[in-house]
Amino acid sequence: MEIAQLIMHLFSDQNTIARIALVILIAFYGLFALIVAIQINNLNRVINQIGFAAIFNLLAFLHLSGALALLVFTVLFL
Amino acid sequence: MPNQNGLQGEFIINKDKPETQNKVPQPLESGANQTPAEGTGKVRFFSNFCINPSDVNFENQEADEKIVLLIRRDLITNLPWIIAVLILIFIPFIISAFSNLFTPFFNISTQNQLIALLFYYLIILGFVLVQFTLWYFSVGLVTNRRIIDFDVSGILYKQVSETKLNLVEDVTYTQNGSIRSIFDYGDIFVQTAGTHENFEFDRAPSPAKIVRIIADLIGGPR
Repeated sequence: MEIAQLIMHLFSDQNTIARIALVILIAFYGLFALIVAIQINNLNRVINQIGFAAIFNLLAFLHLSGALALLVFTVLFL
Repeated sequence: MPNQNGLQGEFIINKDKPETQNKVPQPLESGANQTPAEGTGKVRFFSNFCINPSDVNFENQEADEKIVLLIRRDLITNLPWIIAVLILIFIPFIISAFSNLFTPFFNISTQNQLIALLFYYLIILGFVLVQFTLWYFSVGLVTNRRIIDFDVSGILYKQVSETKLNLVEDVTYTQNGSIRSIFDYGDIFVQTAGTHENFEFDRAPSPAKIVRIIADLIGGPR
């Protein structure tokens, strides 16, 4: 009964629903960012433009870090 | 007098014919439509056409193999996604201007709205990164030994094809439409012998120059 009440409470609050949806979406996006970073690293090995490859890897890493930081921020304040 | 192969007189044909396989063209003279990297050997991250690029190497490159041409899609072909990004950047401002219309239906805290906004801009950043990656790594390379086509059409899809220069039979280009004529880019087709795969450099800049350089390398007429 208490569990049912908890679920009812969670889903009656738009704020909580929005936060849960954001956590799920950002988690999936983090996975995508990880795949992008790995692929960029692999492609840089296939064709390497010296001087820009490192910057490219850094951009991919920043993108991944941004996704993870946002996920942690969202979960912490849930 | 017999030569070292034991042949003499009319048996010696094309004795003075130059080697075309390892011929490397000299940088072209700068023209009005050339990007700053052309002909200099210095390749930048936005270079789409570079002759004799000095600081590029690729997987399985042989020790004495020299890159003669680096070809990417013309820069102008990136314009559609750049315009899309510029529009997407301003969408939250437009929505916030009409936020009063949504207030009776949606009651979400400012903190959540901020996270959603940051997530939105992160997605745009990811979109830019992926689009630039697809352009940057879809590259055609012409070396003094072979032609290599790196085709990255999706973040999880890449296709690498290569052929030796002596298997190339013909090289042509098409340039149709006003946009392609104005910005001087077109599709280059490299036809190879027999059952070998044909190559296509899609929307390559200055196609006439590229065709001339490849024709020179395979020993065709100027």
